[in-house]
This record gives sequence, structure tokens and C-alpha cells, in this order.
Amino acid sequence: MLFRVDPNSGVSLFDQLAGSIRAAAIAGKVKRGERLPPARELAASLEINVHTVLRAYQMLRDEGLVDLRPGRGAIVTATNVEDYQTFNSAMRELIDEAKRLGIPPNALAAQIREAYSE
Amino acid sequence: MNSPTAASTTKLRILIVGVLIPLIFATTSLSVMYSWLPELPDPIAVHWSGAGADGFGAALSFILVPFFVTLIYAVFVFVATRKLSKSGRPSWNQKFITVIAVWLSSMLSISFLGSTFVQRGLQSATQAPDTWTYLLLGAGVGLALSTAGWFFLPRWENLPLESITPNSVVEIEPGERVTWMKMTRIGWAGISVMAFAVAVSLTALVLVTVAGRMIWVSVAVLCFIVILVLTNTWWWICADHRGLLVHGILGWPRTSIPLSDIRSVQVVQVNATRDFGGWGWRWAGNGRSGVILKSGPALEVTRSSGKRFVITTDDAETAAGVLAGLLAESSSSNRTTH
Repeated sequence: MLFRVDPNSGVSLFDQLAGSIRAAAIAGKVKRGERLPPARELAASLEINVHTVLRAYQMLRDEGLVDLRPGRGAIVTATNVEDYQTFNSAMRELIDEAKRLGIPPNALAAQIREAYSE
Repeated sequence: MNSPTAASTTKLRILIVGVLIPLIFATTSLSVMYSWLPELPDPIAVHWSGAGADGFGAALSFILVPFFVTLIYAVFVFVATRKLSKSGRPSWNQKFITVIAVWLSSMLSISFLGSTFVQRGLQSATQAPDTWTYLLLGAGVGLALSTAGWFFLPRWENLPLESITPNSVVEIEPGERVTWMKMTRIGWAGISVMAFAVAVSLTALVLVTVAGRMIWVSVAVLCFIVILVLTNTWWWICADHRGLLVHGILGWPRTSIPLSDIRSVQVVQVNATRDFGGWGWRWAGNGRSGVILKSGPALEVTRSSGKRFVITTDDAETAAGVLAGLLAESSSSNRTTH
């Protein structure tokens, strides 16, 4: 699967990395049971710290997307594309609406965060 | 090239050389050995070292070995030669796989016939004389027949691997770091062949070590097989700013091609037996080598020397796209700095 991070984007690296794995899982590009690369190898490949990769993996584990076991690595658990169909279309709609109103991505994320914690 | 061979002619000749003749040999030798069964000692000698017979086993299972090995190999020949080149010619690998069937069946049939022939009427199998002459005879006859078979089959033709998707390029922003990484496993066809090889070696081991004297040999061979299976079943592939890196899950075998050594990348269609003669780490001639895990799409990387490296994987187009994107980025950054 494809992993991409941009150190100049202003978003923390672990958030970007978790985001690219999450996006692949939700889009059905990674299958249930697929193994994510060993943290050390992915870190070397992306030239980032191994703890950044581990933090991204832990974030995905807390979301229930990944199973993390010592010695077995990180395995993708819940990625039935159908599970995310409603979510994906609602997301599309929300983003389109935000674009229409001229709400920038950061403001949209802030609103979501606020609404989520209420 | 001037007289294209029809695929039906090729397939018919392959069936004669790789399936029909071997099965005739195996069936004939099995019926002859079966008719000798009442005259044979039981257990009979099944293995010889320089100093006479040293392994003994049941006569019936012994005489069945050439037949079953030939039968399973004939099935393999049949499956491996279904897909020919577009011109209807066999590839070099397909011819080789086919003639090996004749060699295997005559070698096994003649040496097993000889080994049982010399034991007829013996009180005990310990008196069995050496049989290496039959082994040599079988191998020699097999070589002659498979050479004849090679010339009976149509001329081989190895076509370049077929490019299957228009080359995609993954766009990379300046400063962005992009990696494609995937673990792939060998396909079921490769697993079946490995399982067959393991089963044959284990059977041979059981026959040889029936006397219980050569346990260390079976342990060593077993370890070797386990390592071979482990190192060839799962592979990690990584395409990033360093280039292409491929390694087995134990970290070995491994190979890496630096990005600066990559001339071009493409996605190709691979038929494991036709194009590479099997599974695992393979060499195909014409400067092409690869890790072949199943028939299907593969990433092909051409090095600056012109040599090609192929690895079969799902999502090969993304892997090719990442390398293409990185190549474009590095050539454009070279242009701006010079």
C-alpha cells in the first residue's frame, strides 16, 4: 500500500501517516488481515522516527482499524468497504458543503473536533 | 518465425512427449514389477550404498513410486503448457519442463525395474546385489529420449513480457516522501509444487532411513526444506526514494536496486511456468530474473545495464507509479541543480 508524508504540511507526521493508512483501509485498498510494514522498515523508508510510525499504529489501534501484537506486527482488522459506505458519502457531502461555504480544512477539522467532544 | 506453428500441433506434441510416453513407461514398469511381486522378498532392498543394500521397505509401496511420481509430474506438464506464446510456440521453459517428464519416467522406471529384477527369488533382501548400473542405464536412456523429445517439439520462442497497463505516475509534491510497501505470499500453484516436492523428499527419506541408521540425514534435509519454504513463501517489497528493495520475511534472500540504477519501470503480465519455469527466485535468460510468486501482474524494473528484474504482486501499478514518480522527480531536480 501507499504511504505518504509531507514534513512541510504543518500537520504532525504521525497524523499524516495514520491518515494515509486509514484512507487506504476505508477505500478498500488494504484488505482485512493484511500486514502493515514493520515500524522500523517503514520509518527508514520514509526517513522518519520509528516512534512516529509506532504512534500512528497505536492511533489506528485505538480506532479499532489495526491489531497490534508484540512479535506479530500490525495487522489490519476492520475494513469492510460496505461498513464505510454511509460514512464515505456523508464525508463527501460535508466537504462539498464546506467548500461551497468557503470553510478552510483546518476550520472544518476544528468544528468536527468540537462537535465530536460535545 | 516464417512458418508459424499452430498451437494445436504444439499441444499435441507436448502431450505425446510429456504425458503419453512417460505414462506408458510408468504403467508398463508397474505391471511388470507387479507380476514379479510373488517372487520378491518382503521387505525388499530399497536403497544401496557402496557396500550393498542398506535400506529396506515394503515391496508394494516401492514399486508404486515411479508410477505416482510420473503421474503427478505429467499433471504438472499438462497445466504448465496450457498457455503458449501468441505464435503457438512453446517457451524454452515449457520445452524443458516437457522433456524432463521423459527423463524422469525412464530414469525411475528402468532403475526401479532393475532393482526389483535382481531381487527375484532372493531369500532375504540383504543379499541384494548393487544396482547402480540400472540407475546409470535409466539416466542414460532418459537423456537420449529427452534429447529426441526436444527436437520433436516445435522450436521455442521467448516473447518479451506483455505490458498490461498504461504506465501510471504517482504525483509527488516537492518535499513529500512517498513509499509503497507490501507483503506478498506465494500463490496456490507454487504452494502445491512445494508441497509435492516436500512430500517426495519425505517419502524418499522414510524409505532410506527405514533401517534407522541415517536419521541425521533426514533431520538435515528436513531443516533445509523448512528453511527453503520459509524463505520463499512470504516476501516484502518496498519502492521508495532508495529504489526497489525485495526480501524474504527472514530478511534473506534480498536484493535492492538503487533508484539511480533504474532506467524504466512497467507493469507486465507473467505466466510463472511459461516465462520463468516455476516459482521462487528465478532466472529466465535474456538478462531477466525475478521473484515469481504467482501468474498475473508483475512489476518489471529495467536497470541501466539493460538487465530486468521482475516481481509478481497485487497492486503492481501503484508500485510502478511510485518509482516512475520518484524517477521523474529526481531527473527534474537534477535539471534544476545543473
